[in-house]
Amino acid sequence: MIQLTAPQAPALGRLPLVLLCAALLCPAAAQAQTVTPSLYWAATLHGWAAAMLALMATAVGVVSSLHHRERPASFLVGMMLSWVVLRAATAPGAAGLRPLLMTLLVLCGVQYLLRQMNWKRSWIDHALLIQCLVVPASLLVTGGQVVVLGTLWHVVLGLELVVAMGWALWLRRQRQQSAVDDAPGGDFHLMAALLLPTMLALVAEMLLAAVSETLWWTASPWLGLMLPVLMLGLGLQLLNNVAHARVDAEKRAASLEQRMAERIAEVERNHAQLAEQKLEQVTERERKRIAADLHDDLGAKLLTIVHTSESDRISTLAREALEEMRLSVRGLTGKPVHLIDALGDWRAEVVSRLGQANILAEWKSPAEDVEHTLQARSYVQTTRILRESVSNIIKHSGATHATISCAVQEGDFILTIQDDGQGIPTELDGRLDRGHGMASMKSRAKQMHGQCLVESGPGWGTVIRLTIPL
Amino acid sequence: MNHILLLEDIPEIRAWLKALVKQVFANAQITECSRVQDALSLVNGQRFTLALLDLGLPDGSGVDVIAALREKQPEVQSVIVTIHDDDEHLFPALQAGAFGYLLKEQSRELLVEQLQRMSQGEPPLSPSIARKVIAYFAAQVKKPTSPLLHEVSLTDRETEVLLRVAKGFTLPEIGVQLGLSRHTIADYVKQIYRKLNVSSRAEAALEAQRLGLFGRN
Repeated sequence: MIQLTAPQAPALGRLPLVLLCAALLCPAAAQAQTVTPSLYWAATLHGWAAAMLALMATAVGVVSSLHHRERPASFLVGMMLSWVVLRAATAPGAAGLRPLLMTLLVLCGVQYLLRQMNWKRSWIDHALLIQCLVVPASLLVTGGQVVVLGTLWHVVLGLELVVAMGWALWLRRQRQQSAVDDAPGGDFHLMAALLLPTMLALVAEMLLAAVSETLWWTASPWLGLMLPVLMLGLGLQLLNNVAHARVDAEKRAASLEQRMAERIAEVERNHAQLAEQKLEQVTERERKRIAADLHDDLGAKLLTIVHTSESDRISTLAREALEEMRLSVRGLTGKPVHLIDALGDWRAEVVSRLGQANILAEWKSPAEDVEHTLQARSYVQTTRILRESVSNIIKHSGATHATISCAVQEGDFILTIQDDGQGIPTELDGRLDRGHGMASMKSRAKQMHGQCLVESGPGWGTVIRLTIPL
Repeated sequence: MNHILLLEDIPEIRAWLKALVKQVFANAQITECSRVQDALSLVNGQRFTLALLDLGLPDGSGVDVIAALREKQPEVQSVIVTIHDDDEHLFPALQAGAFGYLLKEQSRELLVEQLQRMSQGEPPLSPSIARKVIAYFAAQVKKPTSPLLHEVSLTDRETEVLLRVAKGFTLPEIGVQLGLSRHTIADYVKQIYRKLNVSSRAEAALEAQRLGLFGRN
């Protein structure tokens, strides 16, 4: 293996990869060097690095051509290709190309590092372009005779790279500090880990070249590996960023889609709510209209009958019809009634009616405030049952005392109406009706999913027990 | 001598009401009309002591007449006579300054008694009206922009009476519970009606001012 690679040794020696000093400084020394194992491994690694860089350059090139945002990466491609071609341009005939490749490499490197940080100055662009012409031209004109010129360019180019790297690192640090919260600190540390060793390697190589040639020969191939490693790192970083950006974009798209779906659902919900509200409003308006019509037409006519009829029976019937109508309208238009309010209404009515009939009324309602509500219909039906019961007491029972108790028990509302009258006559038992309206009370209770029990016996009065679910 | 304004559009009911009024105020002079416009012009020309007003009339509502009376003859007692027993109809009339209400379909005896009581300064107050009044004043207290209205807020005693009425106690019962005479309780109720009217008018004035109806002067 060593034998096989031996002929390449001079070329290898002339390839201090980072810079052209080998060719420019001491071509003679290169010939003299023997191929040590160390150099052999370094050369192998350089070969691999070149292959990997070529591949990476292709990948990065594809990415940068497809993504507008990654346009600066074309400089990275340029940098990589310059290095690969520089590595390949070992043939003596191609030596003239090397300064050009070197300056191109530096141009691309500087531009990439600075543009990555969005730091762009036109004078730098111009200076780098001019340099690409001046350096090869000056070397061509002098024909490699003025050794100092080569050394000078070498140092200048090397320093340019070092300074650009340092400046890029500084800018990155500034940016990280100004946006502590949202920029991940790992980015700066990664770049520092990539750039600092390379800067050190470049500086060390230049110093070594000035100090000791032997040392330089040993160390240079290894130090020179830093630049391709840096480029590979930058390339990987770029690919990694692109991959992350893609993941982010997918996440954004997903969340956008979700937000959209939520928004649509909300709009649909609002729409449904609006439609419902509208329907309710329309229904409410219509009910009010019907109620007003009933009052104004039917009510007025019934009222006329109430107050003009010669017959007491007819005027009583008309008055009852009017009350019924009013309750129906209330059931039609009514909102749920608080039980406590309903109790107030019932108490006032029952106590004053019984009082007018000289019947002593006792009203028992829950001591604590009840918080239940009654459907308007339940309120209306219960009012009817209560009214009917009180009417029965006044008209038929002959009672002197009546006790009305209201209670809320296990989700039921229980209304008990008790009197001390003569009870329902036996001949009515079984049918429990004829003017007492028991059947209609029971059917009303049934409509509310409740029940109405009537207990009565001659002489013990009557108990009506209404139970309705709340 | 009593001069009573009677506003009712149905002739039979008007005749019946007239008879009822005659029964209570035997020597009263009764002026009848069937339209809001007629009533308003009568109010401009003649002095009355009592007005019985229907709410739903062909050309408007009796509430307008109550407001006009309040303006021109504040000493007149306006009483609503209506078929509507719901507070949606009664409450605005009470706010406008009505002193009480009679429900038309009640028996003659009951109506005569109620009218007598009202003429003696004992207006009726139902639980649902009491609840509405409580809610109205509770809302007034919460309104920050009406310092004027706070002067017509209810006293604790008046609120107490209202709360008991809302629970279904009759005025005599409340008198017994609070150890007050029937007369005193009636005075509370009158005060409540008066404050409801004053407060509602102040509120209306504030609202009008806010809307710029009074202009810059």
